[in-house]
Amino acid sequence: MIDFAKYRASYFLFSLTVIIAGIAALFLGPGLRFSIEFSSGAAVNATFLEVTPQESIELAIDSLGYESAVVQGLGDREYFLRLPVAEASERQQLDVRLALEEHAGELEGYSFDLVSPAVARETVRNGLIAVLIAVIGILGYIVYAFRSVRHPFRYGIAAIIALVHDIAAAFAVAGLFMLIASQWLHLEISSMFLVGVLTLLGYSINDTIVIFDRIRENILRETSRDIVATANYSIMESMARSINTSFTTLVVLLALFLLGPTTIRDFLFVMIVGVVSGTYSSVFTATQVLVSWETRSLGRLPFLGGGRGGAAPSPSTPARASQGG
Amino acid sequence: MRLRLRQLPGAIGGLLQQLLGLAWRRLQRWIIPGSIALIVLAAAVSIARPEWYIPLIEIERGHEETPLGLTLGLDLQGGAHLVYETVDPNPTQEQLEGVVAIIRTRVDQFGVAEPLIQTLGVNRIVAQLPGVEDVQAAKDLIGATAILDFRELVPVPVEPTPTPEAPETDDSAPDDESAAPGAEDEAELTPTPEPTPEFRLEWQIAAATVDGEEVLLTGDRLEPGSAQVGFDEIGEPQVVFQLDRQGSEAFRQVSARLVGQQIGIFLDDLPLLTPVVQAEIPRDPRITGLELQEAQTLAIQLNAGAFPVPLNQEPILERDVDAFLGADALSRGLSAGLVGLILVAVFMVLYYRMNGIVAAAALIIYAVLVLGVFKSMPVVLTLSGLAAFVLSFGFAVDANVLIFERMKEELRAGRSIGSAIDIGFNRAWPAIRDGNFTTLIIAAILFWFGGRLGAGLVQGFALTLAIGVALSMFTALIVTRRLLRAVTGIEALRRMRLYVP
Repeated sequence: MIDFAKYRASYFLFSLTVIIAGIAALFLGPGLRFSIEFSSGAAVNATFLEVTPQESIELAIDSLGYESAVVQGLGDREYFLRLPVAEASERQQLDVRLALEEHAGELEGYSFDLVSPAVARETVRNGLIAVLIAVIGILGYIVYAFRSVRHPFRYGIAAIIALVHDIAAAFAVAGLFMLIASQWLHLEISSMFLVGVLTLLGYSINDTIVIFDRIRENILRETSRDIVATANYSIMESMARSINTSFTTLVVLLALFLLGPTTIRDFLFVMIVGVVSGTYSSVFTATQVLVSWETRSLGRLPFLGGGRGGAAPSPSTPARASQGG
Repeated sequence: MRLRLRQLPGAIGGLLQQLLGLAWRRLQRWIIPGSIALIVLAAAVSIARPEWYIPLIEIERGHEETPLGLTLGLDLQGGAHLVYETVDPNPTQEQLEGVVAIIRTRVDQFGVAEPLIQTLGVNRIVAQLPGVEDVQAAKDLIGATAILDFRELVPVPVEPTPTPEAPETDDSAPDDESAAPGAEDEAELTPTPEPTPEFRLEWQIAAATVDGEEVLLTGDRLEPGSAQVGFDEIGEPQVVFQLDRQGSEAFRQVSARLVGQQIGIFLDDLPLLTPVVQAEIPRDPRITGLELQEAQTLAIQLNAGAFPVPLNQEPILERDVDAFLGADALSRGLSAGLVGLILVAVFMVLYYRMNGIVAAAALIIYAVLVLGVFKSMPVVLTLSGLAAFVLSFGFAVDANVLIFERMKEELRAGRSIGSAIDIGFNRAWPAIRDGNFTTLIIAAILFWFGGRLGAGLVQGFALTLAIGVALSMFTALIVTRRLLRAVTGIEALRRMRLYVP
């Protein structure tokens, strides 16, 4: 039996390192922009018939006199433009299109999105409410579903910590990507990004629940085992399932990312990072937080030779593990 | 007393459980025939062309050109999604509905197939115009503040530098021409009025004195929706409309005054029609001498009139996708979905062998069921919905994976295949239930969030996710189980090696 729980302090340290590095990259590097849905503005997706240099796009945008505009290539012929809302916004769709056709070349495909500041403010508020309700709803459901174990609330909180971990990881990896590869990948915090975060909440919690469900079952069945052994055993039992489901989900996500339309890449990026992180966090965050809480010990770091966390956790902490049920 | 109260939920729970158990046992004998019927029906629906007739299910018509006859959202077929706000932040519901009705008639004139115009929240209106190519023209039409009025030619003193009058400017010329068949002797009056130095004729809103006050014949006098196309005694098309009481009286006076002369029907300062008044019109004015097409257009325009509450001309939210990008997104999404489906099925077969074949079959049945539900509800397929559908192939096998892993454990523990199936399903159930319920919670929240946006983007995702969760539970718990039972019923397929690698 692999003792997953022994070095739990190092997992926490690893997660923290990645997340802090990513968040730092987010603030120090180019960072993640909010999409027009959250900050208002106009967004254009233009596909030209022929290969078109970025300069000619910029020329077209300059001809309209925008002070701040972002032009991002998505391929030889495909460009993403981010513009402020024009004075006469009811004509902006046509004006931009005409300017592009005049200065840059004939268009094959053209999409235009516009969000006014009032709508953007509402979207931010509703987005925050949505995430908050999701977290509360999930916490409530887990506490209810795990009411038969001794500390259902601990299961709920441990699962929520794993959730926060996954969301932080999604932002962190996005920050790192923007630092390293922003010219190849166009990412924004858009409503599809938020949909990704919420879907990820569901996925991550699902993954955590599968392990917690094993723990619940094993605790009720084998009352003699302590929580550390139970957790290790439960992780082992659900390992194959966790890996397989993550793998099939990753396969379809990658198929969508590589073959699918570019407009949902925000969503797919969050999901791809989230599935990997969610699988990791259900074993190495949620379960380990639960174990730490139940044993009141953080375990130890491998390179400190058992210095931290007091005595070795497993034998010395029968830890009131005699769950009555 | 307290103790009893505490026991009450338990007692009710127990009773419910008994009842459910009874219902379940009753239901069980219908599961197999029911599921088979459902799957066959879904399969039929999902491949059905819109023109086929399938009993009990109304397939959305008119989408012959889309793959599988699915109903596509604007982002996949191209079109404009516009959200407008009224200037007044708190209009009444009737006013808002009135604006919707007017926009609807205007959009109908524009010739958009299946537009969707509805109110959104307190003071917003959402207009979805599938397949519209000239978005600017559509916006001009929707945002225009149409003012309808009846006018008469009034002599006015000529100013030193006469400005051209509205009816005679160049851009209004076609309108005059189209109006010509209706106005019999127009040629006498429409050319530039007599070159008298002091006076020329100008169209001014017709007015009359009713009950001591001046009544202007503007669009507000029209009874809403009263304009209708009818036919006169000799079968010629005509437009009949009604005015309110004061308007009727004013119209009677004006028509009496103008017998033999023109009366102008103006929309947004442009003449729609300038017919000659035949006789005094005491009630229910009618306009004759029109082509049928003209009569229909005029009736719409009379009914459309002006907004009951002013609308901001700039949309607060706009999402336009042209047909090329829509079709591109659709074909890319579908091919990604197909590749994803095949890869997942291949993986399942390689990893779980016999079980995997069953899971792959269940996955295909799942896809067929989802398509069947999509077409029969019908669910509007958006890009995000398509993404959720493809993503759900990954999720849908999860329940199977959970069950198969449990089965393997039981088989390794030395149980027979039959009992391993049963125990595997039972043991996997709590995890499947909890995982799917949390996903349903998420879907419900997403649906709420998306509804606030007024865009199908997020809601399409949420709806598809919820349908996917429900159907994947059905396929895992019922289809996979029955298929496994059927497969293990065959002697040659009972060898353990087929199930535990």
